[in-house]
Amino acid sequence: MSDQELLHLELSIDNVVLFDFNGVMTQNSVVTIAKTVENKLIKAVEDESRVRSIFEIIVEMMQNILSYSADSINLGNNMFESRGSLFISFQTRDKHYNIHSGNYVYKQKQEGLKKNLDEVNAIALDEIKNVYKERRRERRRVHSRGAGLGFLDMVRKSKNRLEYSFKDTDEDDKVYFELYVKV
Amino acid sequence: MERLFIEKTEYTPTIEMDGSKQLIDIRGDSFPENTYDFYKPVISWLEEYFKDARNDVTTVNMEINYFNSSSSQLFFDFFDILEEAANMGTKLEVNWIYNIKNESSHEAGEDFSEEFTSFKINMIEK
Repeated sequence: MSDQELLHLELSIDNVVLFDFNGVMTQNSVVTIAKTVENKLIKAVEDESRVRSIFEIIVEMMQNILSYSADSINLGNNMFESRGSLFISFQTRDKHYNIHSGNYVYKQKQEGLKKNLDEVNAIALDEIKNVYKERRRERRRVHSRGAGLGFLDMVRKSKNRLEYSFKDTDEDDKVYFELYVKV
Repeated sequence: MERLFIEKTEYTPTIEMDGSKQLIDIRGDSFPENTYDFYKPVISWLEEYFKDARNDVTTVNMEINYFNSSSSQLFFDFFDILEEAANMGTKLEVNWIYNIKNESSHEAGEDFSEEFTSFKINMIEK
Protein backbone atom coordinates (compact mmCIF):
# COMPACT_ATOMS: atom_id res chain seq x y z
CA MET A 1 0.00 0.00 0.00
CA SER A 2 1.36 3.44 -0.88
CA ASP A 3 1.77 6.21 1.71
CA GLN A 4 -1.13 8.06 0.17
CA GLU A 5 -3.37 4.99 0.26
CA LEU A 6 -2.42 4.43 3.88
CA LEU A 7 -3.24 8.03 4.74
CA HIS A 8 -6.63 7.76 3.06
CA LEU A 9 -7.36 4.56 4.93
CA GLU A 10 -6.36 6.18 8.23
CA LEU A 11 -8.58 9.19 7.56
CA SER A 12 -11.53 7.07 6.58
CA ILE A 13 -11.48 4.93 9.69
CA ASP A 14 -10.73 7.89 11.91
CA ASN A 15 -14.35 8.92 11.81
CA VAL A 16 -16.93 6.16 11.85
CA VAL A 17 -20.30 7.19 10.52
CA LEU A 18 -23.07 5.83 12.71
CA PHE A 19 -26.06 7.59 11.33
CA ASP A 20 -26.83 9.87 8.40
CA PHE A 21 -30.28 11.29 7.80
CA ASN A 22 -31.43 14.11 5.59
CA GLY A 23 -35.12 14.43 4.91
CA VAL A 24 -38.48 15.10 6.40
CA MET A 25 -38.86 14.31 10.07
CA THR A 26 -41.82 14.01 12.42
CA GLN A 27 -42.27 12.95 16.02
CA ASN A 28 -42.34 9.34 14.81
CA SER A 29 -38.96 9.89 13.17
CA VAL A 30 -37.65 11.15 16.50
CA VAL A 31 -38.59 7.92 18.22
CA THR A 32 -37.43 5.67 15.40
CA ILE A 33 -34.11 7.43 14.95
CA ALA A 34 -33.30 7.77 18.65
CA LYS A 35 -34.07 4.08 19.19
CA THR A 36 -32.15 2.98 16.08
CA VAL A 37 -29.04 4.80 17.24
CA GLU A 38 -29.54 3.55 20.79
CA ASN A 39 -29.72 -0.06 19.60
CA LYS A 40 -26.65 0.38 17.46
CA LEU A 41 -24.68 1.72 20.41
CA ILE A 42 -25.93 -0.96 22.78
CA LYS A 43 -24.84 -3.61 20.26
CA ALA A 44 -21.41 -1.95 20.16
CA VAL A 45 -21.36 -2.34 23.95
CA GLU A 46 -21.09 1.37 24.57
CA ASP A 47 -21.33 2.61 28.15
CA GLU A 48 -24.97 2.74 29.30
CA SER A 49 -24.99 6.31 30.56
CA ARG A 50 -23.32 7.52 27.38
CA VAL A 51 -25.96 5.77 25.27
CA ARG A 52 -28.64 7.43 27.34
CA SER A 53 -27.07 10.88 26.92
CA ILE A 54 -26.86 10.41 23.17
CA PHE A 55 -30.49 9.25 23.01
CA GLU A 56 -31.60 12.29 25.00
CA ILE A 57 -29.58 14.75 22.93
CA ILE A 58 -30.97 13.31 19.70
CA VAL A 59 -34.52 13.81 21.01
CA GLU A 60 -33.82 17.41 22.06
CA MET A 61 -32.13 18.30 18.75
CA MET A 62 -34.83 16.75 16.59
CA GLN A 63 -37.69 18.21 18.59
CA ASN A 64 -36.04 21.62 18.29
CA ILE A 65 -36.13 21.19 14.52
CA LEU A 66 -39.82 20.30 14.63
CA SER A 67 -40.57 23.31 16.80
CA TYR A 68 -38.35 25.99 15.35
CA SER A 69 -37.31 25.20 11.79
CA ALA A 70 -38.38 27.51 8.97
CA ASP A 71 -39.65 24.45 7.12
CA SER A 72 -41.85 23.25 9.92
CA ILE A 73 -45.37 22.45 8.75
CA ASN A 74 -48.28 22.06 11.15
CA LEU A 75 -49.94 18.74 10.36
CA GLY A 76 -52.86 19.66 12.58
CA ASN A 77 -53.14 19.08 16.33
CA ASN A 78 -49.90 20.97 16.88
CA MET A 79 -47.88 18.09 15.46
CA PHE A 80 -45.24 19.15 12.96
CA GLU A 81 -43.08 17.84 10.20
CA SER A 82 -39.91 19.47 8.94
CA ARG A 83 -36.96 19.03 6.65
CA GLY A 84 -33.79 18.55 8.62
CA SER A 85 -30.64 16.54 8.91
CA LEU A 86 -28.94 14.48 11.59
CA PHE A 87 -25.45 13.08 11.33
CA ILE A 88 -23.74 11.03 14.01
CA SER A 89 -20.17 9.87 13.88
CA PHE A 90 -17.58 8.47 16.22
CA GLN A 91 -14.13 10.00 16.33
CA THR A 92 -11.91 6.99 16.94
CA ARG A 93 -8.86 8.97 17.91
CA ASP A 94 -10.40 10.99 20.77
CA LYS A 95 -13.14 8.44 21.32
CA HIS A 96 -16.04 10.84 21.29
CA TYR A 97 -19.29 11.02 19.38
CA ASN A 98 -20.24 13.95 17.20
CA ILE A 99 -23.94 14.64 16.91
CA HIS A 100 -24.65 17.15 14.19
CA SER A 101 -28.04 18.50 13.21
CA GLY A 102 -29.00 20.89 10.44
CA ASN A 103 -32.12 22.80 9.55
CA TYR A 104 -33.28 25.99 7.89
CA VAL A 105 -34.23 28.91 10.10
CA TYR A 106 -35.63 32.32 9.21
CA LYS A 107 -32.88 34.91 8.96
CA GLN A 108 -34.71 37.14 11.45
CA LYS A 109 -34.43 34.36 14.06
CA GLN A 110 -30.68 34.04 13.64
CA GLU A 111 -29.72 36.75 16.11
CA GLY A 112 -31.96 35.48 18.89
CA LEU A 113 -30.81 31.92 18.37
CA LYS A 114 -27.15 32.93 18.40
CA LYS A 115 -27.76 34.90 21.59
CA ASN A 116 -29.35 31.88 23.32
CA LEU A 117 -26.48 29.63 22.30
CA ASP A 118 -23.81 32.12 23.34
CA GLU A 119 -25.52 32.60 26.70
CA VAL A 120 -25.62 28.88 27.37
CA ASN A 121 -22.00 28.51 26.27
CA ALA A 122 -20.94 31.28 28.65
CA ILE A 123 -22.13 29.35 31.68
CA ALA A 124 -19.43 27.47 33.58
CA LEU A 125 -19.98 23.73 33.15
CA ASP A 126 -20.24 23.15 36.89
CA GLU A 127 -22.96 25.82 37.06
CA ILE A 128 -25.13 24.39 34.29
CA LYS A 129 -27.30 22.29 36.58
CA ASN A 130 -28.02 25.27 38.83
CA VAL A 131 -28.94 27.49 35.90
CA TYR A 132 -31.17 24.73 34.54
CA LYS A 133 -33.02 24.45 37.84
CA GLU A 134 -33.27 28.23 38.18
CA ARG A 135 -34.74 28.60 34.70
CA ARG A 136 -37.22 25.82 35.38
CA ARG A 137 -38.32 27.64 38.54
CA GLU A 138 -38.66 30.91 36.67
CA ARG A 139 -40.83 29.33 33.98
CA ARG A 140 -43.21 27.83 36.50
CA ARG A 141 -46.67 27.49 34.87
CA VAL A 142 -45.65 29.46 31.77
CA HIS A 143 -47.25 26.91 29.42
CA SER A 144 -45.36 27.04 26.16
CA ARG A 145 -44.67 24.35 23.60
CA GLY A 146 -41.03 23.95 24.51
CA ALA A 147 -39.51 24.99 27.79
CA GLY A 148 -36.40 26.93 26.75
CA LEU A 149 -34.35 24.30 28.54
CA GLY A 150 -33.21 22.31 25.50
CA PHE A 151 -29.77 23.84 24.99
CA LEU A 152 -29.02 23.77 28.69
CA ASP A 153 -30.01 20.13 28.72
CA MET A 154 -27.68 19.34 25.82
CA VAL A 155 -24.72 20.95 27.56
CA ARG A 156 -25.61 19.27 30.82
CA LYS A 157 -25.69 15.83 29.23
CA SER A 158 -22.72 16.19 26.89
CA LYS A 159 -20.61 18.18 29.35
CA ASN A 160 -19.34 20.18 26.37
CA ARG A 161 -20.00 23.54 24.79
CA LEU A 162 -22.36 23.71 21.84
CA GLU A 163 -20.79 24.53 18.50
CA TYR A 164 -22.86 26.00 15.74
CA SER A 165 -22.79 27.75 12.38
CA PHE A 166 -25.12 29.71 10.16
CA LYS A 167 -24.74 29.53 6.40
CA ASP A 168 -26.42 31.70 3.79
CA THR A 169 -28.72 29.90 1.42
CA ASP A 170 -30.21 30.72 -1.94
CA GLU A 171 -33.45 31.60 -0.17
CA ASP A 172 -33.21 35.27 0.88
CA ASP A 173 -35.17 34.89 4.08
CA LYS A 174 -33.53 31.69 5.33
CA VAL A 175 -30.17 30.56 6.64
CA TYR A 176 -28.95 27.04 7.33
CA PHE A 177 -28.32 26.42 11.01
CA GLU A 178 -26.04 23.63 12.12
CA LEU A 179 -25.55 22.47 15.68
CA TYR A 180 -22.72 20.23 16.85
CA VAL A 181 -22.72 18.40 20.14
CA LYS A 182 -19.77 16.35 21.26
CA VAL A 183 -20.40 13.47 23.66
CA MET B 1 -64.33 12.98 39.72
CA GLU B 2 -64.09 11.02 36.49
CA ARG B 3 -61.22 8.57 36.41
CA LEU B 4 -58.58 9.62 33.91
CA PHE B 5 -56.68 6.87 32.15
CA ILE B 6 -54.26 7.37 29.28
CA GLU B 7 -52.60 4.32 27.77
CA LYS B 8 -48.86 4.63 27.18
CA THR B 9 -47.29 5.24 23.78
CA GLU B 10 -43.68 5.06 22.64
CA TYR B 11 -43.10 8.55 23.94
CA THR B 12 -45.74 9.16 26.62
CA PRO B 13 -46.31 7.32 29.91
CA THR B 14 -49.31 5.37 31.23
CA ILE B 15 -51.34 7.79 33.28
CA GLU B 16 -53.93 6.79 35.82
CA MET B 17 -55.74 9.33 37.96
CA ASP B 18 -58.42 7.81 40.15
CA GLY B 19 -60.29 9.97 42.63
CA SER B 20 -62.13 7.04 44.20
CA LYS B 21 -58.81 5.36 45.06
CA GLN B 22 -56.98 8.63 45.78
CA LEU B 23 -54.35 7.46 43.38
CA ILE B 24 -52.22 9.17 40.77
CA ASP B 25 -49.90 6.89 38.85
CA ILE B 26 -47.58 7.89 36.02
CA ARG B 27 -45.19 5.35 34.50
CA GLY B 28 -43.07 5.23 31.36
CA ASP B 29 -41.16 7.63 29.14
CA SER B 30 -42.15 11.20 28.48
CA PHE B 31 -41.01 12.96 25.34
CA PRO B 32 -44.12 14.08 23.48
CA GLU B 33 -43.82 16.68 20.75
CA ASN B 34 -46.10 19.17 22.43
CA THR B 35 -45.82 18.51 26.14
CA TYR B 36 -48.25 21.20 27.24
CA ASP B 37 -51.00 19.93 24.94
CA PHE B 38 -50.48 16.32 25.95
CA TYR B 39 -50.56 16.94 29.69
CA LYS B 40 -53.37 19.54 29.67
CA PRO B 41 -56.04 17.04 30.81
CA VAL B 42 -53.66 15.75 33.50
CA ILE B 43 -53.01 19.22 34.87
CA SER B 44 -56.71 20.12 34.72
CA TRP B 45 -57.62 16.94 36.58
CA LEU B 46 -54.98 17.62 39.19
CA GLU B 47 -56.08 21.21 39.75
CA GLU B 48 -59.71 20.15 40.09
CA TYR B 49 -58.88 17.26 42.44
CA PHE B 50 -56.77 19.40 44.76
CA LYS B 51 -58.74 22.63 44.55
CA ASP B 52 -59.96 22.25 48.13
CA ALA B 53 -58.04 20.80 51.08
CA ARG B 54 -58.63 17.05 51.44
CA ASN B 55 -59.03 14.86 54.54
CA ASP B 56 -57.71 11.68 52.96
CA VAL B 57 -54.22 10.66 51.84
CA THR B 58 -53.47 10.75 48.13
CA THR B 59 -50.79 8.48 46.73
CA VAL B 60 -48.73 9.74 43.80
CA ASN B 61 -46.49 7.20 42.07
CA MET B 62 -44.10 8.38 39.40
CA GLU B 63 -41.84 6.03 37.54
CA ILE B 64 -40.37 7.95 34.65
CA ASN B 65 -37.55 6.33 32.75
CA TYR B 66 -36.67 9.15 30.40
CA PHE B 67 -38.17 12.60 30.01
CA ASN B 68 -37.27 15.43 27.66
CA SER B 69 -36.61 18.99 28.79
CA SER B 70 -40.17 20.19 28.25
CA SER B 71 -41.44 17.26 30.33
CA SER B 72 -39.01 18.30 33.04
CA GLN B 73 -40.78 21.66 33.12
CA LEU B 74 -44.16 19.94 33.14
CA PHE B 75 -43.27 17.70 36.09
CA PHE B 76 -41.99 20.75 37.94
CA ASP B 77 -45.39 22.41 37.40
CA PHE B 78 -47.06 19.15 38.46
CA PHE B 79 -45.13 19.07 41.75
CA ASP B 80 -45.91 22.76 42.18
CA ILE B 81 -49.61 21.89 42.28
CA LEU B 82 -48.89 19.12 44.80
CA GLU B 83 -46.99 21.60 46.92
CA GLU B 84 -49.92 24.01 46.95
CA ALA B 85 -52.15 21.14 48.07
CA ALA B 86 -49.70 20.19 50.81
CA ASN B 87 -49.57 23.81 51.96
CA MET B 88 -53.37 23.73 52.31
CA GLY B 89 -53.05 20.73 54.62
CA THR B 90 -53.74 17.91 52.16
CA LYS B 91 -51.76 14.75 52.94
CA LEU B 92 -49.70 13.19 50.19
CA GLU B 93 -47.62 10.08 49.76
CA VAL B 94 -45.34 10.76 46.83
CA ASN B 95 -43.12 8.03 45.44
CA TRP B 96 -40.41 8.59 42.81
CA ILE B 97 -39.55 5.14 41.53
CA TYR B 98 -36.39 4.62 39.51
CA ASN B 99 -34.27 1.79 38.21
CA ILE B 100 -31.04 1.29 40.12
CA LYS B 101 -29.07 1.69 36.86
CA ASN B 102 -30.84 4.89 35.84
CA GLU B 103 -28.72 7.60 37.37
CA SER B 104 -30.57 10.32 35.41
CA SER B 105 -33.91 9.38 36.91
CA HIS B 106 -32.42 9.04 40.38
CA GLU B 107 -30.91 12.50 40.10
CA ALA B 108 -34.11 14.02 38.74
CA GLY B 109 -36.06 12.68 41.71
CA GLU B 110 -33.49 14.05 44.15
CA ASP B 111 -33.66 17.44 42.41
CA PHE B 112 -37.45 17.58 42.72
CA SER B 113 -37.11 16.53 46.35
CA GLU B 114 -34.88 19.54 47.02
CA GLU B 115 -37.22 21.94 45.21
CA PHE B 116 -40.42 20.94 46.95
CA THR B 117 -40.28 20.84 50.69
CA SER B 118 -43.93 20.91 51.81
CA PHE B 119 -44.19 17.19 51.18
CA LYS B 120 -41.78 14.31 51.16
CA ILE B 121 -40.80 12.52 47.96
CA ASN B 122 -39.92 8.92 48.73
CA MET B 123 -37.08 7.70 46.53
CA ILE B 124 -37.83 4.09 45.66
CA GLU B 125 -35.15 2.05 43.98
CA LYS B 126 -36.15 -0.89 41.79
